[in-house]
Amino acid sequence: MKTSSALALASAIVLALCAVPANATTLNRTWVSATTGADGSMCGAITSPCLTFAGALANTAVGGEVDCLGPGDFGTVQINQSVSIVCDGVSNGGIFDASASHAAVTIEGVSGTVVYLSGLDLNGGNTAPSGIFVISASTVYIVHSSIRGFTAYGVNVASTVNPTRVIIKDSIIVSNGATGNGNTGGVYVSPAGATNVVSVLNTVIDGNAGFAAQAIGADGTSAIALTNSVLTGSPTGLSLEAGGTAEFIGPSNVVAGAITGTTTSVSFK
Amino acid sequence: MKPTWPLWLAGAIVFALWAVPANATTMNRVWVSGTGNDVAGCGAIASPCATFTGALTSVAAGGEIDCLSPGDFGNVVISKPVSIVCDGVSNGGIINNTGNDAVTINVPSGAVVYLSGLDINGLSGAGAYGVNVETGATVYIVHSTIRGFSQAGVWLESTTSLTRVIIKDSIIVNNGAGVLVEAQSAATNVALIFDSVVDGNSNFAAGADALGGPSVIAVENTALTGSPTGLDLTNGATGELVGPSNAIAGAIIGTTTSVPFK
Repeated sequence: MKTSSALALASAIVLALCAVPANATTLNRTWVSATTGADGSMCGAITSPCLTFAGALANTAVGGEVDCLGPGDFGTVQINQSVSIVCDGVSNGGIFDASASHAAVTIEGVSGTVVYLSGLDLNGGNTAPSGIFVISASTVYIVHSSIRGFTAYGVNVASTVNPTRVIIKDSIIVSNGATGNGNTGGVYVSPAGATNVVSVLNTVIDGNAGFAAQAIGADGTSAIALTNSVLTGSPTGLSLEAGGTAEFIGPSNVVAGAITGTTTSVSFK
Repeated sequence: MKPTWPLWLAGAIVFALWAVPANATTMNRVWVSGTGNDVAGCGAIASPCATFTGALTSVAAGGEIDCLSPGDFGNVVISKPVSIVCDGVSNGGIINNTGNDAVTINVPSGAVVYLSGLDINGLSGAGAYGVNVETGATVYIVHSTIRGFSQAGVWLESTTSLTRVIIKDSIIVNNGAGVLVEAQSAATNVALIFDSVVDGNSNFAAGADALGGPSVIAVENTALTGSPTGLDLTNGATGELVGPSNAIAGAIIGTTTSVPFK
């Protein structure tokens, strides 16, 4: 009996430690692992990783970083603070989004929010609407990532923060949109009362249903800049509507399919 | 005796759970590991499959097979839309010495196959083709190495119009031919090669033969080097050089067109 009561006491202490408010302390770097992780208010240290990006984000300091310890599927996540998610090398950084209602990664921060995403493998399974949905943030980096199989857009930038910049580099955005729907595609920029600028560098945007990239300026200033990138395999390569603009930098880009709207060329320096 | 029967009962329950048909449920994400085991229902991260073929049985159409760790995952015939992603954590290895294909793609029209981070090795000509696209719509080959196949690294011989293969950031070396497009049954077949090296292939680096149907190769930021013929276009096949941005050594047979950068 003595042994078991000591055990009970230990359990009670552990329980008490875990009972502190979830965000009483946050870590600058939290870890996720699909094999050994468990979400909870205390997860995130390298010896006690979280299971999901959402679980890790809850324990990460503003401006901190969520890193993958190994391969896995880390679930959809809504980001509401400055943070990095970095999964290169050790992980596929997977999010398989089987939800018809929300994006794999939703970014809803405030002016000043900076989000850095690297090494993610986002797969919408031809069910989920968007890979990355930027509702509000100042700057979003999307690096070394693959975004495919979403029914509306690979990347949907519709930010209310003025200005918002999204930088996409070394990424592959393919097979998004609904077959036959010209209003769906790879990268979609339609600001909500703000200036939204999307820079695409060294990236392949191929095989998306309606367009590779689209900028709509109906409710803000909407601009796309392309460097060393490939926009192929869509009926419309580049769709610029209601004053949306695009810059070809170089020249260095491959664009197949129609270009609707007016583009400008910017020389390499 | 009493303590043993619950154990026996537990065993029976486990057995009953495993006795469901292999394909009763499929998973959106299935794992393979060099230390995995191909049993019915394999593929959860705690019970990875051993081979791509084993994993393909467990994965849903449109789903994804991912490597948990390095390994040799064997030849695979892909019959449904799927991704195989092995970057970083794995070499994503396929050793092929069977005299046929390492990866055969035979999927319905409209299906998309996405291959990333694979190391496909034909063992100095023991394998015939690295990736053979027989039917389908769109195949992505990204961050992969294909070498040592007697016939071709990538063979696009699809009967489905329009079949497209997009090769990006890949290395295709020491094969009989690097990339060969030979549309069948009047289907249009297109290969797009970006940011890749196609070198040291004994016949030609890239070739297209339009005898069976429109066959197109477009090349950008790519090296076609180390072969007697850099680009071989026969029977009216189309070769597009985008940029200019390519390094081509060896003969160019047939007529190419230049597509300027934007």
